[in-house]
Amino acid sequence: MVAETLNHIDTLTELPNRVYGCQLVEELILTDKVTSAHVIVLEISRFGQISDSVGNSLADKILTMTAKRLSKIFSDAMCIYRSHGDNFCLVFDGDLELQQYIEKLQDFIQRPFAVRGKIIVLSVRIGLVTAKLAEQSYTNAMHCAEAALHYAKMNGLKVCLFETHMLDTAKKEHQVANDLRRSLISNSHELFNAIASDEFYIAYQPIISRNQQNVAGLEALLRWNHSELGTVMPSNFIHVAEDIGVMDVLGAWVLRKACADTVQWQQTLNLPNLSISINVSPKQLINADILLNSLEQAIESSSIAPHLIRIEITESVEFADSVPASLQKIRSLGCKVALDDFGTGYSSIVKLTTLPISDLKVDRSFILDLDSADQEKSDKARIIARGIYGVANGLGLNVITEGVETASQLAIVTELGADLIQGYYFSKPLLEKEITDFLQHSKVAI
Amino acid sequence: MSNLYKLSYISKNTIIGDQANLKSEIDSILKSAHKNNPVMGITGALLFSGGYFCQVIEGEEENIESLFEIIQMDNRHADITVLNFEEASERSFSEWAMALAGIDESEKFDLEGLKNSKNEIAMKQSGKQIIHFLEDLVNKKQAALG
Repeated sequence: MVAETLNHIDTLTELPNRVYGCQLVEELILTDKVTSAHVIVLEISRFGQISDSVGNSLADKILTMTAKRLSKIFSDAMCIYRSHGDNFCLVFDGDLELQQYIEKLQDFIQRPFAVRGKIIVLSVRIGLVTAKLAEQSYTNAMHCAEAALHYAKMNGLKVCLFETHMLDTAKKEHQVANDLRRSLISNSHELFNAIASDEFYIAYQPIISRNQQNVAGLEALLRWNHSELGTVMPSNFIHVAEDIGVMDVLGAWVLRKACADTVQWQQTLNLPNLSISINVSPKQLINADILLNSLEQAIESSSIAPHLIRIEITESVEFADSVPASLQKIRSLGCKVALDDFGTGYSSIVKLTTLPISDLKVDRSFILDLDSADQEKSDKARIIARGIYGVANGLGLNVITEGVETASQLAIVTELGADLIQGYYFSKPLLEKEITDFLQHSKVAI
Repeated sequence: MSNLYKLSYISKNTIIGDQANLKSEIDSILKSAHKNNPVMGITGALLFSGGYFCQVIEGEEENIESLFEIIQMDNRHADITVLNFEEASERSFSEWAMALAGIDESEKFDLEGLKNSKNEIAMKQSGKQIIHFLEDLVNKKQAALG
């Protein structure tokens, strides 16, 4: 009996586990003659980062407290179980009103947790389906809710109601993840280099200096050339690389390659001050020793001047406590640090004084609205842009304006005092072989 | 006492009805606090001001965590903002299972502003100020009672 219980109950949260949860729901459907059910799958957003930031034992405690809250709030649920990791599944009778459950769920889970002197506020993503149980099995309904959750995750949605096409999206994403896993089966640098040179490449987007009338630098943008899917953007595979623990290896390759390429262009095209901007993921900054080591190696092997390297960070999730110290170490190597996509997500004006950054990249969303046909919108965008430039200048930060696509946007940002500008107006991200041509002829274009 | 923690928060009142109903609900909150807090070694103070609750609880870490979970689930308030939660060297309300610092419709703090503040340091400072303010109120009330 004890062994049976252990097999059925999740030992951490004391909720039924996935297998037992499904079994319980199926039994209830039969005995209570339930004809429809709301299946809600929830995932705690960025729980991996929370866990990295506060440690595993505290993260476990948060999961336990979450489970207790769910059980207390939803005593009317048919079943609540822990699917896996930070995923929970709640099943309700389909005759009840769904909306009230969603609102209640979001409200109560987002209330702060007080744990060991820390206040943790969680947010959740929800995938859901209302299943007609005469037409589909419970297991099938659960897969639909999971596909909706996956869709929500990929599209930045908080709540997503299942639609048939989401099964295809989930399948495609699953294929990407599997292919990446297969491609990166080994952490051996030699093997990785061989794989990387075939499947990964870097596109470079020029950054133009209006004052100097030249190409001030390039931003390195990682791409994956998938045999079937074609070019895969980082937003579709970086999280997988992080999950399976190969981000450090991939990141090291990007640093080495981008620095080496830049030095080559500096020398062959007589552009000694050409800089290179390289993105790093928030996860690489948590335990930054590997990143710092890779950066030092890239500097050493390419002989690039460190001040010509700009490490770009994006606060798409709230930074862990260790990040400011990591950034300080990058600055100590002589490199610049830019806060990317400024003005969106978690990046706030307070961060400009608390993070040791040297540069700021204004998010493209502000630039897009500058020449909007909607006068009110464009006026507001202009006020915000002027404010950002003013604050950055006052704090002695360099500003890079990205996402400039039209002549009128360029005219406005130039009038507002922007110097470093990046965007399709000047050039899209270019392949290595196209860059030489661009750099040689850029004087004319600018 | 080792492992002593202090937590302060503000929350919006969701008790509907007139002043008498509000007072009766607050009495009920205090009654259960007086019954349960001594068992958990928890002391603290509660203030109702301008539509907001403001509460300080102090005790052992595990007990504060458990009580705060119960407080969170209470439907009589919502929109809880924790001002600070940290280790403390001594209790501020050692004589009180839950002192009522007052019920006052006029606003003593910019609670709305505090709630929306993203500045953690400012919130901690405000939390400490509120603890001192509640201490003063409780002391004054105690002195008045003789």
